[in-house]
Amino acid sequence: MAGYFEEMGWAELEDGQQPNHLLDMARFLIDFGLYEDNFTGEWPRLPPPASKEAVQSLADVTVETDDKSCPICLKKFNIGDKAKEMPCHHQFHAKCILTWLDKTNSCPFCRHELPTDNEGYEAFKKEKKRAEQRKEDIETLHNSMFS
Amino acid sequence: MAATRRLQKELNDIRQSGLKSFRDIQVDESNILTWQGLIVPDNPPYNKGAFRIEINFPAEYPFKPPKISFKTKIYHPNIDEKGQVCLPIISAENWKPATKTDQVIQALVALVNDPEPEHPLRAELAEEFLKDRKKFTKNAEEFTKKHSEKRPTD
Repeated sequence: MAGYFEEMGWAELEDGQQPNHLLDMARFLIDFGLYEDNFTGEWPRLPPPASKEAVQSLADVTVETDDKSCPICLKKFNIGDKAKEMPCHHQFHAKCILTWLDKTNSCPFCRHELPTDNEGYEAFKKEKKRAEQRKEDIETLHNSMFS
Repeated sequence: MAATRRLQKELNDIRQSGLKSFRDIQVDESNILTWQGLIVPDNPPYNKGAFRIEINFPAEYPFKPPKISFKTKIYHPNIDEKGQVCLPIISAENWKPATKTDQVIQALVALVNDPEPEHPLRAELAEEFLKDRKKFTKNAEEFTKKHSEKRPTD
């Protein structure tokens, strides 16, 4: 059984750290049904750039077939070309993918998301996941009682 | 410029594929960032004519999406009087560089053929579309006959 804090997706405050009052207020409004969106909405803008760390740790690969092209510039890869590979295994020219990840954090082909350095966006993603999980839990509970 | 090379390839591919619903593609040799073409819808009431559109690619293409506008007037819930169209696939927050122009055009043709009154740009037309389809179809057909371009004959 996971601990209470872990289950709620919370972390204890560091020494001297203040709670995020805006987030508390948002939770309060949601819990009392005063705000409908419930964090399930979409991020209203283009998500922020990929984190520096995620970009630096992208795999360097050597292309082994000549039937693929870079989804960004559409130029064909030749055998032996160097490419960058995302965790979703899609491959791009380094210059192409780095330009994109400097704008936003997802794969230009399948939208697989890399972490970002933007606290607000990460909090949004976490809350969204939590809301989905909660919905699923309630459904499971409902089904176990009434089916 | 990266945009030029990719657009040249996309233009060649689209011209070779011979799309029936997007014809007469005109691109000024000196500026490949602007395309014009004729949308030729299959579904009534728009199958009585053809509609000229302009696609404008930004210099940062494909890192930024193209913009589409209608040069021919059209009676459609999702296209406003200025010719602006709301197409999710090319909105700033949805855009991804792997999306190719032929997919954008296909999404546009699908939207013209089957209006989406749930996300209208012209609320009054969406309402008419939902509440009085006969009247909408009649109006749209008359409007098409009056304002649209001739459909290619081949």
